[in-house]
Amino acid sequence: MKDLAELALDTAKSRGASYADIRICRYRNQYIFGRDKRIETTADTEDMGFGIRTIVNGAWGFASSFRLEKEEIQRIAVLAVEVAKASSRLLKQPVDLVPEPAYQDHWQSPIEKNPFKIPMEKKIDLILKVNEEMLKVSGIKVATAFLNFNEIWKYFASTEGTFVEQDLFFSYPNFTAVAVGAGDSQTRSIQVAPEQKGYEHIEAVDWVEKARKTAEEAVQKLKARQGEAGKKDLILLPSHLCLTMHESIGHATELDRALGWEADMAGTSFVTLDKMGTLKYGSPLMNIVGDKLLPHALATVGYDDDGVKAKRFYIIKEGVFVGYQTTRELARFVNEKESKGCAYADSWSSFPLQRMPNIWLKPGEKKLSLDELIADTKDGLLFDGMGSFSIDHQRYNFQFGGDAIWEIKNGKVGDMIKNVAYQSKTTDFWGSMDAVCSQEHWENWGVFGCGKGEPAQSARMGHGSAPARFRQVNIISAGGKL
Amino acid sequence: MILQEKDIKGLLENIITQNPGKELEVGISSNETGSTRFANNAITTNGVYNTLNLLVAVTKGKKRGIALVNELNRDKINEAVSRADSLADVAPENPELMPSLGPQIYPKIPPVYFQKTADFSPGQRADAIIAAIEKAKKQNILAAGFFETSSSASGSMNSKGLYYYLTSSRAYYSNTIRSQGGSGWASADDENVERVSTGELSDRAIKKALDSRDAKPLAPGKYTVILEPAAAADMVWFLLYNFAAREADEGRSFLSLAEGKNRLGQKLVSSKITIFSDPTSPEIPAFPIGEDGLPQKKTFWIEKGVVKNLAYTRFWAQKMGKEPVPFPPNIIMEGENHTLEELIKSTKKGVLISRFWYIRDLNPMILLLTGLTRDGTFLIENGKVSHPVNNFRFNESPVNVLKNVEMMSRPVRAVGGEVGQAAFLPALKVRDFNFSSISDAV
Repeated sequence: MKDLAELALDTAKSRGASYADIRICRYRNQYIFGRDKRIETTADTEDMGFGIRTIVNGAWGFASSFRLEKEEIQRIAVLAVEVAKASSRLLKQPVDLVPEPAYQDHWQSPIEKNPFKIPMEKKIDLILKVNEEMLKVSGIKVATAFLNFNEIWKYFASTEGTFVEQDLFFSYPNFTAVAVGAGDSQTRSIQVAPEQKGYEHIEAVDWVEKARKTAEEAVQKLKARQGEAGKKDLILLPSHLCLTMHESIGHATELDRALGWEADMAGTSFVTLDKMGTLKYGSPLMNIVGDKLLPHALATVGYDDDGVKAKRFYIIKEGVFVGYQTTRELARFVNEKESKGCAYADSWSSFPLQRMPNIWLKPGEKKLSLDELIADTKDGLLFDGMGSFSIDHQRYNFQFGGDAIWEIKNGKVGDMIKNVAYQSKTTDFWGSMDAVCSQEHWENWGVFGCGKGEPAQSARMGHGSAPARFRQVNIISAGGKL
Repeated sequence: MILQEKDIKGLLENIITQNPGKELEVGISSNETGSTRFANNAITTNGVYNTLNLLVAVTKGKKRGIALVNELNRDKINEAVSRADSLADVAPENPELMPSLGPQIYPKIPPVYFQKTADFSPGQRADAIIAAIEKAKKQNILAAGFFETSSSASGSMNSKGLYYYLTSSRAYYSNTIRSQGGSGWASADDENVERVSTGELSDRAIKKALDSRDAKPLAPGKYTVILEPAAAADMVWFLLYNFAAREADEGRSFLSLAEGKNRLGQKLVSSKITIFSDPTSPEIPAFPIGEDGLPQKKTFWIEKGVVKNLAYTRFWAQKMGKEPVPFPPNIIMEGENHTLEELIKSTKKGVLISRFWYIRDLNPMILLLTGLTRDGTFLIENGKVSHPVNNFRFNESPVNVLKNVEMMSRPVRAVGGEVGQAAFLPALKVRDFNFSSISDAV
């Protein structure tokens, strides 16, 4: 592989590139989908190719191909140089990468059981069993399930002397029960996060027990009363807070957005450059970490797609915004001397973008359990899992629903309610956070398919937290009739 | 360069003939895309992307396995067949699996492949972008955007004799221009790059960016709105995404009625509304092939406000005694003989919406959606656009939108800012559109 990589880099250099890198990648995906005790899809896919990035006259060029052959590598390296030359016609500021040491290394997800070596029959059996268990519950009309396993193998080499091989594994289970009746339909999913783990992730869960409980909750949700609009205190479980953090903090603190590079699609950010070190993002309890090192989290790697060694850094400290997510290209725009390692491309055929690392909320320092937090809440709602989600293109105004929502009355969890969502403004919302449970209640969650860029790319990232409380948040009703 | 029909057909035939006795479906797709991004009045990234996929599905009675690889050498092809074969062996019987179709006759569609689009170079894309940026610079505002040209070939064959092959090309240009305190956007797509007028699109976005400066506050609430065609496209696509018969029959959709019935044949929206799909449309031709290789035909979804068709998969159609109806490949909505300006002129007080953003389902039983406005939201007073206003979050159903249509323009081809898919449809004047809160985003 090193020979092929060197051929690409030498060709690009000989044609005038001041910098070049190549990513040779193989993606393996196994997807099994079942519904109502039937297996609808058993698919096994593989996708391999390479992408070459060059800098010529201060501008980027990129070209890629699925033909991993010497002649093709040379052709694509030349093409990447030509594309860079076309881009350099309209150069405002030449690309200037911050320094990074050269590495020769191998990194692999810390897995115990390679999911691709587990017999397909075992995975099929699990889906059928969980389907069956859910359908035993009266009121469940449909039970769906999928198991998705990914392996990403990539070899990165650059003209600066880095040669790094990485092998990443992901396991993503999803099981949903659909209750139907009395002119309504409601869903509830088993709450198990996708993680960078092997099949041990699947084996660690008592799926049958969870299937029964989840299906019963789907029926409860169907029979639940419609929630009302008004202001409530919210206790958000890690399974839910994951997506709220992702949308209102993760995307808002991407430096490429703040600089306007995503203006045409994903948008920009209210977190403008003048706000670094001064913006009061939330309450003093709010400590948000950007992290590519967190074991088993979805964005954890050895090295990013710039060849930068994984690291951990603060984004928000005691409620104040202190730093953006960056890449080697972006770091200098905020006068930083090194990249935070947030370059990622979703395919060999994609140009690396600045993508979110794992972004997580630090637990509270004072010992606090979920039960204690609920006991301390007079009139609130408890949100579990992800529901409807939407946020504006500068990340001010957002609205989130949940997978299941319960009332909290006088310190106790009461009835489930349905068809509500909360609507707030990012800094108001995080400013209203007055309690975060302690370390022993911290859980790692994640988003498996986050879209960004043109052409669109998909990425995975972890968002862990402990349960947290937010005071007097605006609830909207999503019920009604046609 | 994309693969030619003789290559694709030859490969597909070889795979079928080298695996006698197997029920096979094999497909090859080959794509070449070039795209250039720009932001802050400079090109940011520029790339050329080639992809290739071979799909192999092996069916054994009611069992099926699927494998996908992206190499076409003999070993890899054999590996794909063997992997799909093994998956079919271990898959349990799926009683809903339908038998493969035999040869089909597909409608003839207008040309969807244009060599000039396929040959469009990074330099040509840069020329168009530089022209847009120069105009923005003159106004002291910032241009960002994306220009993509692509060509694709895809072919599929099965062991019962079904075969199809299609080449297509697409050019897509989008630009967002940001002024001090304002923003404007315009986009378009076409099979023929020569019909994508990048100059007109940059002019339109620049005008919106300049006109939307200094927005004044406007309270949330119910307003008459005028949805420009791109915003209307998002609403109508979201409606049709949810036109599945099975979900309706299973009581899981806004189209469900009691006792397993659905709203097929019922009046759903205003009598003004007729929406159909047609792959042979000269304005917006589409791939004429649906699920499992079924031909796509002209299909009315809503006619004069009445639900005329729902999408039936082959299995669900058989179970319910219906003909299968594939999901729409395109959307064509009839309009009225007005201009957008006439819609504005007829409005005493309303809000003009250029583009929607981040639309998501909130309640499928009433198809309640949430989303936001962006890149040009204006107050209309006494028949004129009076000034820009803040952006809004909406919580509204496209069913209500189409119930409350008061007036429509002549249809045009437009790409939804959220869905990214084109439709041929009018601008809509709609009463009682529900804005639930304001957004500070500019």
